[in-house]
Formats: sequence, C-alpha cells, structure tokens
Amino acid sequence: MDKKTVQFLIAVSLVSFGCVASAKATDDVVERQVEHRSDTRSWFPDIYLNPAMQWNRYRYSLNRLSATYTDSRATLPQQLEYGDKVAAAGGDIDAFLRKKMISLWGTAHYANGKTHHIRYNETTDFDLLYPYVMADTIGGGGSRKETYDFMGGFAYHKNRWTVGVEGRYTARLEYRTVDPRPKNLTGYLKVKAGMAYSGLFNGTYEGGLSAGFRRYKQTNTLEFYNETSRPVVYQLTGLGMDYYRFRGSYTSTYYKGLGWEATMELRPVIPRNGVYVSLSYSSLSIEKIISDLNELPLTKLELRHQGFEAGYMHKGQTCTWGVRLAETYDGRRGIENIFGSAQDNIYPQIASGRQYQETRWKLSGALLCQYRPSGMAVYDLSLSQHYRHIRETYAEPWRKMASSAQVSALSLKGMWRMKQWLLQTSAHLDYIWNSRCNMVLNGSVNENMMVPVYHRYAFYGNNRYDAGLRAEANYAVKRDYCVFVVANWDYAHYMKTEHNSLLRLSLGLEF
Amino acid sequence: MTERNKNMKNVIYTLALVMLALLSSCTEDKTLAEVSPSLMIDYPTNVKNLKVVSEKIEFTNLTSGEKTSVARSGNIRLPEGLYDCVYSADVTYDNGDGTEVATAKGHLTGKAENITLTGASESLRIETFLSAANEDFIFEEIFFAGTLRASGSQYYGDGYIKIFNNTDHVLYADGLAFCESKFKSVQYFEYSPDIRKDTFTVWSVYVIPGNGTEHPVMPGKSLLICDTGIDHRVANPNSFDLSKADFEWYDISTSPSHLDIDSPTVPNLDKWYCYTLSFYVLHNRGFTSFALARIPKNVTKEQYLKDYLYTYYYTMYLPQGTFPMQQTAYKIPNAWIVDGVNCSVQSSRLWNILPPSVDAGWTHVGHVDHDKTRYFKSIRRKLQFIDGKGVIHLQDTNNSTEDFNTECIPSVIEEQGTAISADGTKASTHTYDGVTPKK
Repeated sequence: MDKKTVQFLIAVSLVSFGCVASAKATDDVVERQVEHRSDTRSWFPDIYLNPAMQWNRYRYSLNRLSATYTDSRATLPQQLEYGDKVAAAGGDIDAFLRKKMISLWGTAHYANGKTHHIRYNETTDFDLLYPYVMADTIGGGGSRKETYDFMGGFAYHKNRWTVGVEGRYTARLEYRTVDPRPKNLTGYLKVKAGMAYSGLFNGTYEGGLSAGFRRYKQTNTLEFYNETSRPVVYQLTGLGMDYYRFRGSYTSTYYKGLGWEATMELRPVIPRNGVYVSLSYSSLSIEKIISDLNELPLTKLELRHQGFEAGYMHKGQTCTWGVRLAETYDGRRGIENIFGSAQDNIYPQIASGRQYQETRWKLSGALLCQYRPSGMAVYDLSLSQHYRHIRETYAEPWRKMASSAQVSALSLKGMWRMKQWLLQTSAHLDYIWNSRCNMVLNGSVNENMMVPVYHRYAFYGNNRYDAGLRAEANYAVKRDYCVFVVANWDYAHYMKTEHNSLLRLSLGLEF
Repeated sequence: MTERNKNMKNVIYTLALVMLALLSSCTEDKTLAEVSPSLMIDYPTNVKNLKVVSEKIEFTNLTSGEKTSVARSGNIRLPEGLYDCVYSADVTYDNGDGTEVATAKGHLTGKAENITLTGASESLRIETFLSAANEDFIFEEIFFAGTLRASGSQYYGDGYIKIFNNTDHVLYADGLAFCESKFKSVQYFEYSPDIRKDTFTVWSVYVIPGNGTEHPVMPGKSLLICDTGIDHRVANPNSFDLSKADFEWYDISTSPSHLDIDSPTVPNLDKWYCYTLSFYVLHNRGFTSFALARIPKNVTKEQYLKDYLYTYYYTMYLPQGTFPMQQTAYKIPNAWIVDGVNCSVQSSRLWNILPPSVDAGWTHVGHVDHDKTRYFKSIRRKLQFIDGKGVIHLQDTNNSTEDFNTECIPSVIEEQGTAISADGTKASTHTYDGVTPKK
C-alpha cells in the first residue's frame, strides 16, 4: 500500500471518527461502558458476522481511542515461523454510534513493531498461506512489521427489515535490513452486505442472511546483499516437502486470492430468553506465482471454513445464563502444478493435483453465566470444553501428521462501578490435555526443512496451558468522557519446558 | 406441539441441511495421477554377445527430488511429473575377432532427461552406451570455484584442472585440447540447428603444445593445468602456489585494466580460441561443461577457426516481449572428445550440455547459484583401486554423477596445506580423491 493510500485511509478514519464522536449519545459514559462490557449477546459472536445484526448490538454509542504497547517473549516460540520476541506499539480507534434506526461502527488500527528470530518463513501472513511459503535456513534477525487495518460499516433498520454493509481493509508491510531481506507487502479487502428480518415466529425472532467477497494480494520478495553468501531458498509445499526443482534463487513471488462468504443467523428480536443460531461458510482461493520464471503459477491454495454456533440464553433479573454449542471445520487444500521441461524460459504445465491437505475440526460446548447482584457490579463465569482435531497429509510421497486434544477452559470476569470509577478484571485458564500427535514420513527427508515439522509435532504432542489476567481502570473525568488504563498479561506453557509471556499495556480515552 | 415449535423445528432442519450441503461441497478432490510407463532399452548394436549381469533403473522426480529405483521387470508406478531416468548395467561382451575372442566386462549407461510422464506418455526409450576402456586422458580434478580473500571477496586466477593417465601405458599430452562449453546448464533454449548430439559448442579451446612426444605422462600420473602459474599466496594468503604447474592458459588482453599475468616458470597453452578479449577464467559458479579433445593432426588452428564456426538461432520469451536471437560459436565434434564432465547446480539445473555418449551424468560444487560454500572446493574423480605396483586407477564409467566426489578439498590445497576457508583455516587432510585417505 503506498503512502498516499495510507494517508487517505487515515484521514477518512479520523473524519468518520470525528463525525461519530460529535454525534454520540449524551448519556453517562460509565453507564454506556457498562452496557458495552456486559453485553450477553456477545456470548454468540458469530451472529455479528452479518452486518445487519449490528444495528441494535448496543443501545448506547461509545467511542474509544487508545495507544497500546505489546511485548511478547518466548523461550521457544509455539511455531518457529512466528518468531520468539515481539515488541510493537500502535494506536486504535473503535467507534459505535447508535442513532434511532441507524448504527455506524468502525475501527482503525495501526501497529509498528519488530519481531525477532522468525525461522523457516520469509512470507507474511503465514497462518493464511502455509504451507506455500518461501523459506530459508537462516531467517532470524529482527523483522520490522507495520500493520494498517481499517474497518467500517453501517446498518439501517426500517419496519421489520434491516440492511447492513461492512468493509475491512488490512495492509501489512514487513521487511528485514539484514540478509536474508524479505520485503513483503500485503493487502486484504473484505466487503460484505447483509439483511435481517425480524418478523419470524410472530415477530419474536429475527433471521439474517449475508454475503460478501474477499480479495487478497501479497508481493513477497527476498534479497541478499552479500555477494558471497547466499543460502538455499525453498518454496515449501508442506510437511517438510518443497519444490526441489525451484530451490535456490527464485525469490520474487506474489500471491493473489479471491473468495466469498455467506452467513445465516437466527436470534430473538430483543435480548431475552431464546435460541441463537448461526451458520457461516467462507471460501478463499489463493494462487502463488513466481515472477522470476515468467509469472509461473506454482500452487493454488483452497481454503474453506464452515462454522456452526447454536445456543440458548435465559435472561433473569439478576442472573443470566446460557449454553453454547459451536463447531468449526477448516479445510486447506494445496494444489501443486507440475511443469515440463523449460524451453525458451517457458515452463509448460503438464499436470496438476492436490498434494497437501489439512483439516481442522473443533467442537465445543460452553456454560455461561452472568450475575448482577446490583447495578454496581457484574460478574461473568464461563466454563467450556473443546475437542480439537488437526490432520495434515501430503499425497506423494505419503506423509501425515494428525493431532487431537481436549481443552478445558475457565473464564472469570468482574466489573465494579464506584462513583466515577469503573474497574474491570478478568482471568482465564485454558488447559489442553490428552494431547496426541502421530506422524508418518515417507520419501527422502530434507532435514533442513524438517525442523519446523518436528517442532510442530512436539508442540501438538504435549499437554499445555494458557493463562491470562486482565485489569482495566476507567475514570470518568467528566460525565461524557473518561480515561482508562489496561494491563493484560498472558502466559502459555508448552512442550514441557517452554513458555511464552505477553504483556500489553494500553491507555486512552473513551467517550 | 405448538405451531411455533413446529416452525422452529423447520428452521433448524433447514439450517442443518444447508450446513450438510456446504460440507459435501468440500469433498471434490483430485490428487496427482499414477502412471505406468513401459521402458525400452536400446542396447549398442555393434557389440557382440552382450549379456547383462545386473542392472539398475533410477527415476528422479525433478519436481520433488524424490528418487525411485525400480527393477526393469517390475511394474513401474510413478506419480505423473517430470523425470530424469538413468539406466546402468554391468555387462559382459565378446571382445576381438576370430580365434582371439575374449569375454570382456563392461558398463552400460544411458540416460533420458526431462521426460514428461503423464497419462498420455506411456513408453520411454533409453539409448545406452558401452563404456569401453578409455585409451586417453581423463579429467582427474576440476577446481573452478576459486578461493576467497580474508575479507571474504572472491579471488581470481587460481583455478586449475588436472588431467590423468588412467591407462597402463605412457600417454603424450601433446595436442590435447581443453575446452569449456558456451552453453550453460541452467539456461535452456530451443537452439536451431540443435547439434548437441554430435558437437560441443565451446567458448574456449586451449591446446597443449608439442610435436607429439614432448609431454609424456606415465600411467597413474597427472598434469596440472592452471589459470595463472604463480605463487598466489603473495596476493592472497588464502590461496596456494601454482608456480610449478605444468601449463597455464595465458591471454593477451585488449583491456589495459584487466591484464593477464604471464608466469615465467610455467609454459603457456596454445590458445586457439577464447570468447573474451581480456583474460579467461573458468565459470566459477559451475554452470558449464568441460571436455578434453584430440584434435585431428590434419586440422590446423587456422583451419579450425575457419571451418568450425557456426551460427545458431533461438527465441527468448520474456515478460517484456519475444526476442529472436542469433549467435555464432565454435564447435568441437563429439568424436574428438576423449573425456567430458557436465557441471551444474542442483537448484537451477535444466539440462546436460554434453550428451550421454560423453557423460551420462553431471556433477557439482555448490548446490545453488552463488552458493557461499563452494569456494575452496573442487570435484575429484573417485579412486577405483591401487594396483600392486602402487599405480592409481580412477573410476571412469562415463557418468560423472557416479565417477566424481563433489565438494572436495582440492588436491593442491591438501598437498600444500593451505587455507580451506576465508578465515585461513589450514587443510589437514591427505586423500587420493577428496574422500579416501592416503595411508
């Protein structure tokens, strides 16, 4: 993304934010914060994948402006491709405006930081693009990363119908100033539109539908300035495999992807007892192209996500409880193109077939409870049990890694209102147990690129836990705005002896 | 059941059905198809009573790098793709005529390169060549990568080759030509005319001078032919002394800023042709092929330069457009070649410049283009055996993949105990072929 585009988007964000801020409701800011922080409808987050469902998400408008510093350190990262140390500073704008029949919302996020010791990956958005990333055995050093993220939407309600539109654009710039020097630029655009009808079941339920498209691009180049020192560059294809033929010096690649998504929702018209159901499906197809070889289309990645969430909420005077059942299925298919003998710098495609496949299946059940002993305090409790299964395969030569685990999670949250103060604290503990992982590796093994595979095998094969604490203090300087400070600490323990701790500090203004 | 409950049930059933439909849409899948090519081996026709003792067929998938060895009689099943296929066999055959016939042992090699195996291509033909005893010189070692200065910068001028007498009698090196290919193994175009099968397109031809008996080489001995025959340690302490080499190639440069050094202690090769107007160095990233050739006595230098120049055409297809190209080059008929070695790097290799009749394989120093590990390393021919008289015999099957050890410490560095890396670490090994230690 060029500088002018960034400046334009920042200007648009600030203007929108200014409009929202000036039009906010005049209610007590603490009261509005309490409403936003204790919304029990957020127990069913997939409902809000449809922008039309956002229009009555909150009764009050609330805007937040914050500056955040994040520091994360790991003895050994959970995945080597993530790096073991991250330090980033950034700013966020988050706004929600409710005005009669119209709701407007938006976020703007900027982060600038450094990630250390990324290994076996020179491509940005690893989670989206794996296994088709570029890698070398050196990596390391410190990678600078800038993220720009803009999201905005509106919903309009008339009679029993609501329509909504939401758009998001995320751009990342990542580079390193020592060899190997990746310079990656990404752009991810998502646009969706939805509608909802609140006349179902005698006007007690609201059903929604939404559809959208997404477009992804990344230019991924790698350079070496040292003329006498150049490691092998691999175009990875999964489970330690790579394009043997294109090892070496083909370091100019790009990705382009196009996809769509659709959702269906059902929920009670107003927050009350009832059933919440949502179903989502998305598809994204991303092609990887080597520019160095006459725009050679190397691979195609087909990503599919399907999610189902259903639950019931019982709203009481002081106690609200709910149950939630969720299921997600993520499929990742990697199709490799096979090329014949190159003539005149042109590689004819002779075959194509699926080689890599990954499926991730997750099933979870949760018990949720909110207790409001008075208007001055709110307590939330969540108990959940998850089952996760991941299966990766490579067709020829046959390779497989399959893992499964149970996750038991407990989350506690408390919020107290004391005159001009609003204090919030939360804690969570996720214990991943009964972890099992098995691996089959056929064919000749390139040990250079097996390190991250063995690492992943060790990670998934051991029990682990994640714990976190969060504390937030808000002080209402005046009736319509407050200042706040947030401290967030997360600790993960994995692979028997390794751990990662993350500290995030934010301060800002809410009005 | 109330009307409302019924409606609710219908909605849930509808949602479930939609979810199932979406899931079922994910089942379409197509992996790479398997192919079963039939293999036909073309044996040499001019060999009498050829009998195969043992044979091996190896397919290398050029996309994944996977190697598959199969028995010829067995059912070959491979995923479709682009392959190299090497056939090798130990054979016996009748050698001689009439009453003088003796059964001789030999080795057959054949290679099919860049074969597309898909459902449509079901048969594969490999032409094989019998390795007869080579009655002339062979390459013992090629050191093209060069050395590094302590600063890490490249040093030029200390490249060399060693040629070896692998026979049981004296050979004369007079008139033997050393050539390097013009084509690179990492760049392939459809050349017209395609004369690769019969000739070798060169960018350098240097000939050992002499009247035919001036430069005898005993069995098991070699000649050292180098770029610049000086003590390179003066200019680069990490290099070595070549002032006692047998020959050097010297060029009279037309560029005052790039002059060659004419060593007073080492005689020059007779330069017949070289592409450069300054000074010649071996391709130090290892993309070229090398050959030793016996130019017929009736072909003089002037006649060669007149008769063996040819013009070839090819087309470059680039994102910027299509460019028809025309170039001229000198060629060496393959019939003159007494030994040849294909070199390349694994990551960028596209083809073998010398045909299987000269070299059925290829060898390397370094695995990728600009490989930082290639300096201070050479390719050295494998030791086969040392006979009772202490004469060394090297392996020669006309397949450099099998015949050479790669990434070796050069023999001159071993002999002189000089540096094996830019930091000046000294060589401490003494080997016959880069691997087998000297006792």
